[in-house]
Amino acid sequence: MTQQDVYDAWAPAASEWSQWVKPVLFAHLPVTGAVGADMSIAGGLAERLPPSDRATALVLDLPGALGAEMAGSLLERGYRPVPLYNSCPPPEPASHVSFFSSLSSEGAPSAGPPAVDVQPILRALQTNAPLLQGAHLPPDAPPAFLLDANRRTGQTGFVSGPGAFDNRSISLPTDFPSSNFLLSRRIRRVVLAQQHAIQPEADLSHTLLRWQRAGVSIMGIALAPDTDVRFPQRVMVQRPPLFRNAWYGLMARMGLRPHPLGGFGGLLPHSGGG
Amino acid sequence: MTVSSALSSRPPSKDIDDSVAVAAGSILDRETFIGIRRRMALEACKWDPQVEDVSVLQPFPLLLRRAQWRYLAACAEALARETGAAERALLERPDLLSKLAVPPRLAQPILRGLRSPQPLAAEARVMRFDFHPAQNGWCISEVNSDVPGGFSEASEFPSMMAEHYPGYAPAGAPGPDLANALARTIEHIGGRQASAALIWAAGFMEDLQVVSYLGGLLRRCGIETSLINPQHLRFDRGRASLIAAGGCQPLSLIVRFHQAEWLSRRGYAAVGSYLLGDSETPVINPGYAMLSESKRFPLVWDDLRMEMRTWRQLLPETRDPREVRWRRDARWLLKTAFCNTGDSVSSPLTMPRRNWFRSAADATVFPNRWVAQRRFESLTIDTPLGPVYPCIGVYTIGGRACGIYGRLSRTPVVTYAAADVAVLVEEEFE
Repeated sequence: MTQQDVYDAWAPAASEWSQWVKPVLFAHLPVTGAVGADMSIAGGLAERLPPSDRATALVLDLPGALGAEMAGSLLERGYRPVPLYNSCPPPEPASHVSFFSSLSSEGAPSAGPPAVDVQPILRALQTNAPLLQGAHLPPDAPPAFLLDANRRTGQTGFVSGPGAFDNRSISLPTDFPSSNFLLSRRIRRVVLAQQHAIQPEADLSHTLLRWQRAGVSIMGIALAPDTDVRFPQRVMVQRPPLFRNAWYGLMARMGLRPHPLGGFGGLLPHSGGG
Repeated sequence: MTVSSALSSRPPSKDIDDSVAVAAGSILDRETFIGIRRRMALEACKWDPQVEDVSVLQPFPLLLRRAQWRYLAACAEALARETGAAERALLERPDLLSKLAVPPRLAQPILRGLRSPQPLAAEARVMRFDFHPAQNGWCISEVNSDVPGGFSEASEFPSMMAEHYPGYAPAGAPGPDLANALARTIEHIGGRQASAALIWAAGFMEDLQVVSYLGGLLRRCGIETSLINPQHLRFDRGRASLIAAGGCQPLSLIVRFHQAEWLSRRGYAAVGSYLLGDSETPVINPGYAMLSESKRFPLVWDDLRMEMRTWRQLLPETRDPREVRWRRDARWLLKTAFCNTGDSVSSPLTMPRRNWFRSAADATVFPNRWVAQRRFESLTIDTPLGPVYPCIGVYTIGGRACGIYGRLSRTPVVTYAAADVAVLVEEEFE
């Protein structure tokens, strides 16, 4: 499959959720030497996910490629997988990037390990594309938004030091449809699926609390076999720091609150460039 | 409106048109536009094509007459000349840097950079002037002088859209033009291996896509590129090298897509001063770009005894908040000195009361970190999606106008949430 085929499989024109698909990883396809991802773990985790009742959307905040590897199970349950992976692979090897396809990466300085290893996700996107392509979901099948739970912290043991490619990212409310949009599509309930916890990560809380306040019910489920939360439970999303703080100038001025990712501001509010 | 003073040296002519009438082109069919959106995402590093429920890329262009583009280009070039002159003049008045709200920690390296500017880097200096059609003609809201972005949206997007609008062409291609200017700079420097580092702040995908795009263009010019954070740099007697896993590699050039004011953070002490002025390796944009990036830049013109004719003609009246009655007069708005994406533009007419009170309180306590500016009545244009406020961002590279970044906003204030629109210019026929 070509890069475009893979993208179109995950973001088909017929699905209204496709516009939210984050394109950055698709821009770095195809990966060479892709091997089939082991879907058995993902398939096992997916067993606890509820089948679609058309009024429920999923948010899968799972480490690495687990969400993308669950694509088959999600399709079986009637959900449209919507990848929101927003970490960029290191610029090498440049020849893997279509935009740079005519370029050589020979002699480029060797990079250290990236903070977030997106290679497994790239492989899962590529490997599962035929599944998506052959799926017969209705255009209005509810979405299952896919996130990498390592996005903010990076891999275990990652240190943002020399040679490291710091590709961590944060999930923002603007990455998702608004509560108005969800409600207009009769989505009344969102199930957040994580590996162990049911309370959302701090960055995701900003989105989920907005939805909750608009009347969308938020449920949580932990998918790891060793957890007790076998069925979705009601979650009262805690108000995260700086919730709905649309005005960041004051924070920026008051000492440029150092952000753990290297920028500033607690929430990565806006682009740095003008 | 008469022809701008920016152009007063040349006689008024039918080749120059300062009218603010901007037309929207017809809307593309859905399938064609989905194809363009996909190409932008997969081929041109447009990795944030959706903001909440809004598709950032608009499926229709804005159309300018060739003579209008000449007018805007001439204004931008005049503004760039005046900006450069005022920056240099600040060398004689270092006391004014505090008036610009430059953090004290950054002032000295910036002044050192001004004292010994790198002429090669000046050729690749990039600015973007944001023009708005208003009741009394075109006006500008600011210059994005420090780290202007939007290169892919201003280069690749208009190029893709123009394929569907016969008789129209992009105003230019600032992305490739900047890459070429950077490549020429590296070529002049010489050296065994051409390598550039593009610096961005980790976590900001919007910024990463800009450096990824520029990095790709540089590689096309045969230049090795690395996308790094500031802490991955080492300076030895002013010469920059990249600390990579395999050891240090000397750099020919640094592209700084990282706000100057963020370098005042303690974590950047080791490299901040080099990036702002002490580096022997060319840094683009130079640190002193921060001086004109400050929204308080107009407050020092009189102190510098600079004429700034084009600036004064196009920029709404701008004052220190202590000098005007902005609390009682809604014709004034407030913005912070380093307001990067319109996020701190504050007016009781355009924001919730609570936010306005917070801005007002802060401007009262710290007036030297804010500026008051006359609101201008921005004109809307009719588009297939309804009336919107356009913003025409004209780039200059090395002082020459070279393209347009078009944005549309539902509100008079253009923020990070504005949509991108391709601006096409009537083709010239011999």
